Amino acid sequence: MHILRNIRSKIWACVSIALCSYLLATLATTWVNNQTKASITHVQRVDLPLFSQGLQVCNLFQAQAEDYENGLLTGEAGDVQRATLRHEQISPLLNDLVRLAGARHHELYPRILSLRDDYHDYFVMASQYYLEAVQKADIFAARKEVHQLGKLRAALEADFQSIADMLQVMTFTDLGANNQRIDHNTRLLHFLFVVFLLLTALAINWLANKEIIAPLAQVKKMITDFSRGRMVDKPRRTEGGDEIQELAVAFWRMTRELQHITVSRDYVDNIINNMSDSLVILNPDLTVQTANHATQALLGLGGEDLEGRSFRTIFSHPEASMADALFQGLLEGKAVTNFEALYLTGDEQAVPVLFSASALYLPDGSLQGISCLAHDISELKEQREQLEFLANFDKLTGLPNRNLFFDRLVRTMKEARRYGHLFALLYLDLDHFKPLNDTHGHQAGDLALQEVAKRLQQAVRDTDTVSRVGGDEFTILLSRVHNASDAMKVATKILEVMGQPFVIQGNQCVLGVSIGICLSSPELTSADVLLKNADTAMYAAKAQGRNRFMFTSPDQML
Amino acid sequence: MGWLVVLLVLLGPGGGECRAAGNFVMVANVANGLTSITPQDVQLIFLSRKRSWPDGTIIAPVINENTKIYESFSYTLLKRSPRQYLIFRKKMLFRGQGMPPPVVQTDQEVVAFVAAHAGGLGYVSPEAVTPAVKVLALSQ
Repeated sequence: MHILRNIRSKIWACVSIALCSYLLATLATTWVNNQTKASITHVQRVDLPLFSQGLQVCNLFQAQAEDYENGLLTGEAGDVQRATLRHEQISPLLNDLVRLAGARHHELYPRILSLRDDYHDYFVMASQYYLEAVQKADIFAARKEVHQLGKLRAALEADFQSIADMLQVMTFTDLGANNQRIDHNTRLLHFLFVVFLLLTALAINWLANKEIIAPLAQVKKMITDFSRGRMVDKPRRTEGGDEIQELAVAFWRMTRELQHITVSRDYVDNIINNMSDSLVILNPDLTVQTANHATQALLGLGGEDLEGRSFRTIFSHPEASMADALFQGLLEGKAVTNFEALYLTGDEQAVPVLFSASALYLPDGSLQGISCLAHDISELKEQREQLEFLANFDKLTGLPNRNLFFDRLVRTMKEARRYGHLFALLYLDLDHFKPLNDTHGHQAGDLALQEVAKRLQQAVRDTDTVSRVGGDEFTILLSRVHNASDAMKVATKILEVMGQPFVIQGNQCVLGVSIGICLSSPELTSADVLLKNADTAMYAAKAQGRNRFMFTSPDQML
Repeated sequence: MGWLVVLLVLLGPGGGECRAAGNFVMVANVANGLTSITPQDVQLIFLSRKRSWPDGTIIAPVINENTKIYESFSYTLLKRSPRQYLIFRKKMLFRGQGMPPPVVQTDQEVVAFVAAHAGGLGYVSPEAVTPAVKVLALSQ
């Protein structure tokens, strides 16, 4: 339908259908009316004139007969003259009847024609005989003729009457037929009206549906699809599309544009759920609104478990007051960045995280919620602890190394000075360790060192510190002693436990230890000096014959 | 037989109470097989309602305007005045309904007419009856 290229022309098409239907109905009515008119015209121009003139001539003939009769009965010549005058009326009427019936080819034409002829014959005789009878005043003079004339007139009168009756009947029949025709036409028009109405309604409905409603339904479907996030198909483009199609195409273009310039919700959800850090969105009342997959994995909880849960049951900080202050700050809109905190998992395990949070606001400025980002730092913490351990402890024996030992020595010295108590430093060097190492290998040496470390730790108090400061060199810091004998007791115990044979890889061997002891004194303020003094004493012990202890100076033994 | 006819005529028309001055008798052709006739038949015949005898012969009535018996006949048998009867005959003739009977003025003419027509029927004074005609008694 190339003509229907806009809505205006489509509406006009519907109106045109209605107008065409109206025109057809008018034509049908006109046709029907014309038929009725022709029929009524026939009645008016043929039936009624014939009928009225037939009746008139019949009445005149009867009046003429009466005049004659009166004339004959009374013998008045005037009556006969009047009857003759009536002939002047009857004759032209009969001629008119003949002409009218002849022109219309009326079915009674032959009868009317013969009636006229009979009448004329009759009148010629009647005017003669009756006049004679009246003039002679003896009707019986020409009995036979008068009798014949009487019979003829009776027949004529019957004929007149019969023709008048038939003309009347025909007129009423035609009028009745007219009535029937009008009834029939009325029914026909009603029927046509209903048919036209139905056809028009169907045609307009079909056209409106095809040209307006269906295209609009397509646009509506596109909008519905788009609002539900589905892809919108490109509308079918037909030649000479109308405004609705232009609208559909424009809408389709708009969806394309929007897809290009708008980040879809799916896309954002995808990013959030695939990020490695935990992201939790809190409601203003600090309950969980949503939590991403990383959060669920970190806490071992499902999304349903988390939603609506108070954030205080997840977030913990060793210092409760600190956590309260943090939440208060967040609700007031303060951002938190890289704050070390703990998340509590579903089975009450603490996970260290680096916590950042900031408030979210609605366009009207009210608080919408809080977004909490947490980075799992448990691995980082472990690595840091490992490094710390490596820096301060001996990897082989697990004992504090020289570094930590020095640290503790300095702290012990400070405490001793502040509180005025004594402490002792023992410097130990294994005897005959090098031959063991050479004979049985480094692995055996390492095992021996681990066994030594164990025995040394068992020989001292928990508060004392055993450290490995060199290959086979150890130190023991006795944090509090009363006098030299306390240190001596410890040294003696060490010599005793170290005197026990070692079983290394199935081989029994004996290791000795040489111990140098340095007691603290107010004068000794340098850790290095203290250590050096102990070291010196140890060498003195080795020089004395190994497997013994020596004080830095003899007077320290007192 | 003469006295019987006289008696009958005396009794017949009015039971002795005759309005008319003269008496009359009905006469028919001698060939007529009837011996009597009813007054009703006479009336029907003269009003042209009855046109043939029982044997099929056409009845030919004749009106006797003999003033002595005409009125009597008209009133007693036709039940109307002579003028009414005249108008009746004129109308009948004019309308072609029937041929009125011929009219004669004397009894002799009647006798002659009846004798001449086989179906003839007339009325005459009793003294005018001749053997050429047959008297029909008026039965009740």
